[in-house]
Amino acid sequence: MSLDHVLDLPVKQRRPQAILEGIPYAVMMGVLAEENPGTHEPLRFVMHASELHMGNPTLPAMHGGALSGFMELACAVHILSFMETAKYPKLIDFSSDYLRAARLQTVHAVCELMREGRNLTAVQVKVWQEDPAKPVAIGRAQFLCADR
Amino acid sequence: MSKAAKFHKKLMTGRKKQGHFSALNIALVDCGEDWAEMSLTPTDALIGDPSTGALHSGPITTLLDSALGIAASVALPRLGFAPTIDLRVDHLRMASVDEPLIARGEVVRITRNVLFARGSVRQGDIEIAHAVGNFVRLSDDVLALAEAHIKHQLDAMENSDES
Repeated sequence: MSLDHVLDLPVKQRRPQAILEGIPYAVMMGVLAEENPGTHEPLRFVMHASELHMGNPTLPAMHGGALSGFMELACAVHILSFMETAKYPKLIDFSSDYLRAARLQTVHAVCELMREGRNLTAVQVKVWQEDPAKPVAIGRAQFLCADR
Repeated sequence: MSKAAKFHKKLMTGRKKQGHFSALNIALVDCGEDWAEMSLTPTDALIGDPSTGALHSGPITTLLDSALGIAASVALPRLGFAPTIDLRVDHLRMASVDEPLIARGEVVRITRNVLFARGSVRQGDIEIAHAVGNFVRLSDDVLALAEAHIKHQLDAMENSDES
């Protein structure tokens, strides 16, 4: 299903994984949604590390840009999963804080909507590898969701 | 050109590209004493919004992180690398996937523990995004280890070229 078709659905019927499958960059990065229907678990995103996420070839670590790209995708798909907006949100700015070295391993992300305005929407995201209490990065985004 | 800049050029250009640089078609254009220029040649796989065909913000962030990070690395007094502390990117305009992006990063100030950098990305004559980022200046003994490691990698590259 194309992204347009998914976003034509009311927000309650949109599956986060179907949104991700409509975004070429998300498919290339291998970002997946962890859905927990019927539970109160928050929506989580996951990216299984592979050679394509590797940064400096002299160190087997994840590229900081791959982590930021993952955070930016998670924030946008979180908005599209919870807000009645039918267009991919426009990113105004994004701030990344890198807190710990990210190894070439699976990363998880969870987002929080901080403000849902008529135009501006603010989202925070936290990314971790093994222990959610030890995030490898956090991010903050301001989006324009002008079609609401 | 500084010795560090020469080494980084060799590292980035002298081997088959791999990892996230090859996934995003990112290449080092040039670097000098405290600056670096990098290019990203987009493909349809990097589109964020298929209804407009716009390039996703993620590759732009990655390009800026790379350009500022290499600028910080070449500005170090010895061969090494500088991990990102934080990065803030403002997306001034949408980018398309029809033309390469060029990013330039430069170091504004070096202190004992931190390298302050800034940079921007343009597509043709149009500025797409700008960024500020801060990088860790690792201690001299850690950098000495990094230098030995990088030199070892360069030697390995040279030997594999000869074989």
